[in-house]
Amino acid sequence: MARPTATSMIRALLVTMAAVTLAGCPGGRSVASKGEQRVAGVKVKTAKVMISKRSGKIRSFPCMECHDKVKPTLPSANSRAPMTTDGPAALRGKHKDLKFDHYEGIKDCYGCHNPTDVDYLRLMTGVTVTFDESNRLCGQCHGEKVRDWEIGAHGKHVGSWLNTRYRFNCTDCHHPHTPGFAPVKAMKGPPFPKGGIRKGDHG
Amino acid sequence: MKNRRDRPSLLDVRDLLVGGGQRSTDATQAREAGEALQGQTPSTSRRAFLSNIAKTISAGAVTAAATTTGCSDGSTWESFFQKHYKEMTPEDKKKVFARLEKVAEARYRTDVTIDDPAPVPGVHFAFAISLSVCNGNRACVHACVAENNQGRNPAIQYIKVVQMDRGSLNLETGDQYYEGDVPRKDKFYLPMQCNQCDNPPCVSVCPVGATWKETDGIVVIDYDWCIGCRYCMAACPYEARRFNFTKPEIPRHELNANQGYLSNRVRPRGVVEKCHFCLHRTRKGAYPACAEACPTGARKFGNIADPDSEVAKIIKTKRVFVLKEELNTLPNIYYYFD
Repeated sequence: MARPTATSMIRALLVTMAAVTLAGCPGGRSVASKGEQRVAGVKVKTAKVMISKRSGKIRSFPCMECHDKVKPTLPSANSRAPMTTDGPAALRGKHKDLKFDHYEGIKDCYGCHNPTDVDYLRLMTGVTVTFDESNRLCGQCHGEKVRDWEIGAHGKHVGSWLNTRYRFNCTDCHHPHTPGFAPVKAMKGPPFPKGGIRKGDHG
Repeated sequence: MKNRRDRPSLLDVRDLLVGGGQRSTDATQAREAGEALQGQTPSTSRRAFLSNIAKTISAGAVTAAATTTGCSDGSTWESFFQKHYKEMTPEDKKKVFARLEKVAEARYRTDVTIDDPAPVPGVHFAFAISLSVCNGNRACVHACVAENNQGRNPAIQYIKVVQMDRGSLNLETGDQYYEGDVPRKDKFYLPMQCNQCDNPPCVSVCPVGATWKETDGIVVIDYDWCIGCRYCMAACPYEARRFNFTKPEIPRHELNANQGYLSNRVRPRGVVEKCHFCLHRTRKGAYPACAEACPTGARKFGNIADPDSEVAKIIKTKRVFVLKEELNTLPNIYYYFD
């Protein structure tokens, strides 16, 4: 079994950096894979990594189907009515039930959404990105998490570990407006042994 | 001896030897024996006697074989003289798979395929589990049970999720029987299963060589070779092995018909089983059932020999730990917080 050596670590670091650079490219949706390589004289196949797409999964997309006619009337940066966890009174129609529980002191939607063409997201630098690249937007604050995500330490992978694996994007799991997860009910536990004594019941 | 119908033939010969047909409980057998005796002509009675002896001996042999292996399916001769799995030729394996398929199909009345994919060269499997993300919902446990045909009553589960206090890492104070809403604020959850150790104590204690380590790192069990001594269970420091005290009970509609010889085929009574990283899936490129079912994405699975795989990258970049490192078992499940 290949234990990490200094050389392999440096190589892995370079690979990771290359992967990060490519993942960051706008439109680059598949992370580079070497296909096959030799590790310690043994041929090893590497899976291709694809980043899961959001388009097609969002309800009522493209947004501009409505928003070219309906101009968003929501709390602007100067508004006296900031968004609350219950949703601002100004949100109507389709977005009426939208809850926001992400960060404190939000004023409007344009920290993330692009105001002119709402089919895109907007980074702090003013660069617009598609909904498929939410990792770039989230990474502005959650840099550490995104670095974990890029090496595969955070986030779910599906598909095949050998051929093509698909990496879920941030918004595949986290609702961007309420990214936390509520507690869930645990599935049934193992049967308690007959005559067993529960923890803390030893007296 | 499971089949009571085998017994009258044994009683039969005893009746014949003592000379009375009356003690046989089976009315038909008694009548036959009586007729054979009352036939008076020596040749007839001798022929009947010999044929009865022959019948009895053959029935006895089958019954003995059935008792030894615990099967009563007519395929006992082959199962009794089955070779060790590593000594089988591909043809032998094919025959064994066909026989086991027939047995399973007769029992569950559904098409069953049994095969055994070979280890992929250049692959060493490992898990990396993020304990920050695992919320203890036990989806992996139940996906594993469904995939691997574990007995439902008594329930056998390969994965144990241990609930522990935050800030502690003492498995002995952990609780695996928790219920209700998870995750609890003051707790974290650690899923435990077979670590597929690179230095497996369970393999070295097996007196018959029924468990061994494959080249891709998976420790497998040949359920047909296991004698049920449970030495491996005592040797395993992770409590990863389970014993079939009874014949596993699996509802017919819940049977996973895609089975592997060394993995999830239905186990007989009296053998040990454990997690095998779903080798019937993973050797074909799929993820294990637990990793696929995990709703949080805490489970990472892959080839540690490939420096670009997620597990290899996690081990290089994150601070990982293994359970009971001091025992030098070299486990292949790495835990980390992120």
